[in-house]
Amino acid sequence: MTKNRLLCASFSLALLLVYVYPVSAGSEQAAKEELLLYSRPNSGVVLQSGFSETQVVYNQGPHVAPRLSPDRNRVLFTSIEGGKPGVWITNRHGGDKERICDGFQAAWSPDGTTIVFQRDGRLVERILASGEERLVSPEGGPALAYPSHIATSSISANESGSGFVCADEAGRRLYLVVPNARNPLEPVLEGEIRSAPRCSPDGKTLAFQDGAHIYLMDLATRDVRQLTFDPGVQTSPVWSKDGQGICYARAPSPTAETWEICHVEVARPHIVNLIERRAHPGFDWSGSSPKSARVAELHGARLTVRQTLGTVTIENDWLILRVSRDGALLTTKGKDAPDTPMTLRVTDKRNRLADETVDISVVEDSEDTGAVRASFVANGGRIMTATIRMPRTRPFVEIAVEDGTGYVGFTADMELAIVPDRLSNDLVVGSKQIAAGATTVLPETPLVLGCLSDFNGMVVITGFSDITSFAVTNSNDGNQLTALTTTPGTTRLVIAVLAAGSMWQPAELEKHPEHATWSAQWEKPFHAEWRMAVRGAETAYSRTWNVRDLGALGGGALPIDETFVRAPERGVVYAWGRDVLTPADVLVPTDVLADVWGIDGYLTKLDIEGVRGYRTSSGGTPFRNLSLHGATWHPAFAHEEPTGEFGVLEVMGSVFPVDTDGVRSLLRHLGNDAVGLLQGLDNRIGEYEQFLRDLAAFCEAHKNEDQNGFFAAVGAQANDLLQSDRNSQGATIAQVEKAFQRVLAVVGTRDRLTLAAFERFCRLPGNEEWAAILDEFKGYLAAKEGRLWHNDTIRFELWYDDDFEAFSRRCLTFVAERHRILSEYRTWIKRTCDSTAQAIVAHPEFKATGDELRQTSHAVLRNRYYLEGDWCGETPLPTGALQ
Amino acid sequence: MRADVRRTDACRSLLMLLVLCCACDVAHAQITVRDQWQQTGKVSVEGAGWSVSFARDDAAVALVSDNQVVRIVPFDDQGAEADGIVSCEIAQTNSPDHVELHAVFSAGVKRLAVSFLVAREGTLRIRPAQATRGVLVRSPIAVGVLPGIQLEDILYRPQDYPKLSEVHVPAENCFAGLLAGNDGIVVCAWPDGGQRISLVKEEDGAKPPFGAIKIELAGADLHLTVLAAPAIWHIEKLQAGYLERDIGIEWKRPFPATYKTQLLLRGETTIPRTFVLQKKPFSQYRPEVGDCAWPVWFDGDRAFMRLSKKIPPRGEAIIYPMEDGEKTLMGFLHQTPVADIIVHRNKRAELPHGPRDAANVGFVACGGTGLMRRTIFALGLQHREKEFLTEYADFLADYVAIVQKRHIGYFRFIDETRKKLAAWLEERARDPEVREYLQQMIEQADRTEEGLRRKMELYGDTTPHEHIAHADRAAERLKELLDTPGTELFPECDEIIDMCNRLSWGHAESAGMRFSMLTREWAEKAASACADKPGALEYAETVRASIRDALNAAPPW
Repeated sequence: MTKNRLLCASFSLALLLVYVYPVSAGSEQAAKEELLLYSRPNSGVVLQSGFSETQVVYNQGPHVAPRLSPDRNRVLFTSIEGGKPGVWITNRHGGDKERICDGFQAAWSPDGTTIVFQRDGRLVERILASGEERLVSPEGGPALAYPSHIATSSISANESGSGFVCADEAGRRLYLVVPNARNPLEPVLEGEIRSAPRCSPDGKTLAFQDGAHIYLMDLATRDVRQLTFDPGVQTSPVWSKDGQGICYARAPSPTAETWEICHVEVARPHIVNLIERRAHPGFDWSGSSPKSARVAELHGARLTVRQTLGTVTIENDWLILRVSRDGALLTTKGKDAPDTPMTLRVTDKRNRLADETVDISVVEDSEDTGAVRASFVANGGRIMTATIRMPRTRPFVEIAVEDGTGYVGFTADMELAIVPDRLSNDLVVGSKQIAAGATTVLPETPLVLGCLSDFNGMVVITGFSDITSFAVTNSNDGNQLTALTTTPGTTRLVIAVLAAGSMWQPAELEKHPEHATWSAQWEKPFHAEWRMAVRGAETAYSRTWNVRDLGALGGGALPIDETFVRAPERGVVYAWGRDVLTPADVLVPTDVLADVWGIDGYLTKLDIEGVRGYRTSSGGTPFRNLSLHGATWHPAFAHEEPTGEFGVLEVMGSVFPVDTDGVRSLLRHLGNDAVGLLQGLDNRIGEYEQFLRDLAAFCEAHKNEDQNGFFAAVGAQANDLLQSDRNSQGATIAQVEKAFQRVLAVVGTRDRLTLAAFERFCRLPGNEEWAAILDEFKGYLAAKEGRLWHNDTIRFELWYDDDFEAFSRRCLTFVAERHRILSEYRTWIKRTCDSTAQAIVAHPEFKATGDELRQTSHAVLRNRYYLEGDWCGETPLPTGALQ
Repeated sequence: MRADVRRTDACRSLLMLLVLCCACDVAHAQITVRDQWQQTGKVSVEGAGWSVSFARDDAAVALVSDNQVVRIVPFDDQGAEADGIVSCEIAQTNSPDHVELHAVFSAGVKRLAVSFLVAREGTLRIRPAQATRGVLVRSPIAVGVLPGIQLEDILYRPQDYPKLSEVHVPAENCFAGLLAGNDGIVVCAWPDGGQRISLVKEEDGAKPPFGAIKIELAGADLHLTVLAAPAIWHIEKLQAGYLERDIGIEWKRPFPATYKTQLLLRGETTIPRTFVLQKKPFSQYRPEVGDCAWPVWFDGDRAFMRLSKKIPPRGEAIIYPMEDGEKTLMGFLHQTPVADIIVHRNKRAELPHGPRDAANVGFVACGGTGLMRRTIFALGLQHREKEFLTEYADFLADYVAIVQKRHIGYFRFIDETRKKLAAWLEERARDPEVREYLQQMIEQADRTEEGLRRKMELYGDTTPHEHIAHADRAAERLKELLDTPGTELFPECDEIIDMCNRLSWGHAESAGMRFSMLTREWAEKAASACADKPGALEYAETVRASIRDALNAAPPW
């Protein structure tokens, strides 16, 4: 018998014991105890039992993923302590903390004797007592991740023992793994698996995350149904001990730093209990009915499909889709619903409207989806055949075109069409910009928002990868927009109707009588992430307002941080993103987009990295800020700072420059960080200047297409900017480095300064400020106790301030000079972007070149350097880049 | 004898001439001497608003300051008071600032010689000579004040001692009597030297006020003055309605100075604490007590109060001027050599260097360490800054050791004082009065130790030595964590630094405040417990002096 076979035999014995002997539950009372185990930001792993809380370990982060043992006495978690990812174990009180082995994403076997985890893309099972390991991943199979145990009988009736459920490392496929199986590994389904799937205690159902939501799979039939449909994103399902409920983590967006832990019963998934706030995903739970902090009832539990007399009606909690011979009609439900119904608009290539719908049939009537198939006819000729699907859980319909070459869209009375552009400014199109009865194209975009005329609702029109371009139609009387459609060739289109509360409002623009600045008056109907878009003749301005910024504003008008030479023509404020405070029954555009596109699509199509990501410096400076408090700020007041964030200069200012190797090393690092940050500003200016050169060349190359002198004007302005020689004045990096060298030279030279000498210094003419500081310090308890000086030798290095402050001021001057230049470049590029978008609307023939120009502009704007600012209300990602 | 008298008369005449000449000079017009001893048996020295009078038929020297009268009566070794003045001579002097008079008092057949130096500010220096044991400073005294200097001022009210005709007070270089009528304060001061002080009641026993301050001078000088001004001190009955409200009380200060009062402060032990009337209201943080509105302040000349559950409105608040003005206790003391003795008592002890003498590489306070952990560790830079953070960890541990060594000093003080008390108890075991007193003090030492010991409990450790060991382990753990990149272990690093903060400056303040509160209570008990035990006074003074020294190492609140 080979060594491997011996190992397998010992594992089989161990696994047999698992299933022969049930898990020891301990005392009845202990078994009923509700235990919630999770990592909390800035705290580490805590174990909640009822109202008591125990700190288990200090490790924090989603990757820590603590797992409670079946006997509820031990905790597995992942840590990089020591520098390498490892599986660790501790008891539930945090004692006996021990590193078991390399690996991560560890999970317990049902009896707690073995664990399974990922190591280098392979799943490994380990017997805890002996330390014996065996490879679970099949030879030659894909790299696997997120393993957890499952009885192999759940996978196949012919099997027994322990198997595993997992995903591939990219999170694209879900696998059920039977060790030593003869058949090659086949995926059970494809999707976006971003957390560990978990098998129910009875082994019949699998809970897993796919994209933004959690789904259940019947392991016998492989039928899948959507379990959670909270707005935002849900992840990390954990079954209750009785298999009746599931806890999961949810957040308004996939980039959230902290998540809420919620619980639903499988039989009543629309009743959501909030269990805990401010947790990392990747938690564990052992219990059946956790204490609830808040209960919310969600829309999205019902879906009906009816077919009567050639008409198919599909209805969910928000919408009614009625497809009949006369066409497809979409009406919204609820008290805030728009009065006017919307119709599906199908036209042929010559823009002739379909006048008849034929071959109407129900093609899907499942728990989660209803679908109807129909063909659209104009003048007796078939334009296209499409399947229209309505999910149970969201207010949208998806139109999948099978054949045909016409346009698909919808007809409704709309005040505005908005093309969101978070890198530049939103394009706001009204009826006055388009000729009466005309249709015009919009710049390339993954979605368009239509503001319905009754001021309540908003329509989101988007699609999948093949849709990037939309058209908008004006009414015949030229008073309002009537239709949003896609370009030909579209195969899958989504039309969502958001009508809960006032989703958009025209903003009343007011000029400040003294400062010549503008502000936008509006009434906030609910907490959310709002976008404000203001359009003037020459310029536009858009920004995001999140709950925190609106709170800081204290209500009232929204300030407009842009100069308008002439009065802005139009302002609009509309709901865009989600916040933890957004009511559960309100869906915002990003909720729909995460569902339609999935998480990866959401991140890439909305360019979250471009909008919210940033670089610090080319040298990888860990600090993103140079200073938040100015050159004269004193570290003694650090504990009073509410933000908890500091720039490199603040940290430098807190170090006593005594003569030690560590101090020299720290100061050298921090000084280099500061210089690196400044160098980054110059580099960024260089990038913009290269862009301007490229843009001038681009405009020169396309000047023949230029009917209106647009490219010539843009190219000339780019050249003017380049030739203005903005960068030739002011401080240089060399001067900053010199100032820094003076700081380094101080280290160790003054730490033997006596109080008497310092007092003499203070008495010299011109040093009155120092004398006042010394007097003030003498009054401090710290001084009286000798914390600031001892045996007449100054411990508190006051003299350092002079040299450090000179360096600090030099840095800040440098930043101010460069910031002015960068601001000018950014503003000009954004204006070029905006005017290009307007030009596309006015001259559709301009679209291809205009879109290319906008793309290249976005490319330079998105590659943001943190210190250039101009966030326009966007929240920078915690670490600069997407995880 | 006759020749001596003649020579003295001649000198006196010469001096009178000189003084009268001086009196004509505006610049030196403060002192006027009227010597009519030969004619009427009276001598008076007068200045701006005050006079000192000697009269043959009166056994006392009368000091009158703005209608506030204090009579000084010497007494002999047996305690017999003077019954007359036999002679009063003006000594020759070249100073325009003072006049010296030599008076001989009769006490039966005895003669008590006393020298009086009268300064132009109206202060007296009383120097006892032949057979003079001490003086009675007679005046109706509503409240006696034993200034605490670093300790709390102790107030003696006659009604607090209904059964005592004489209340004994530790002789700690100065004493003040707030005169009935609220318009005067008599202040006495003396150098070190075994004096004995008591407050003597009028003959009808319990009824206020005290009639005199009795001072056994032990051969040393006594400095004395009367501070007089309308409503120079004030007594405010505190009412329940004062709770959590700004109350303007019906009293205005007669002149700008630093005024003090005594109010109860809740804490480990609730004792009257001295509060200065500040220039404006504000809130202050004190360990053990927390944030608290400062209870007394002036708005212009009017006094205001804001009392709370932490400083409850109970009893009376007695307000009197202590510093920063001529008519204050310290203002008077600074005219005497006693001021130096008192000022030198208050010398705060500096923190020593730590055992490893680690360099102070970071800003030692909640601000600096907070900044350090909220950036370096929060950004995951600990591995890059390992060299610095290793020094930082050593310094944190070192600083804990510095502070905890101070705590060891607290316990050492308690232990040494208790041993001293035990030794005295053994010596004086047969004296029931002293024995009872010393036993009380030993109990107080135990109570102080127990209270402080409870405050030592932090992170499961109970002694300063354990805290030092704990911080050393924490520093080593912090160094271990420096090998881990990223922010996963930020909470632990944060906790370690926070713990070192709490064990160092945080614990220095909280345990120091506990020690301060308990020892102040002890000092108050040490004084009040010997009110009826004159034999214990020397121990009270020693204990209080030791506490004063020990408090130099504790927070000043």
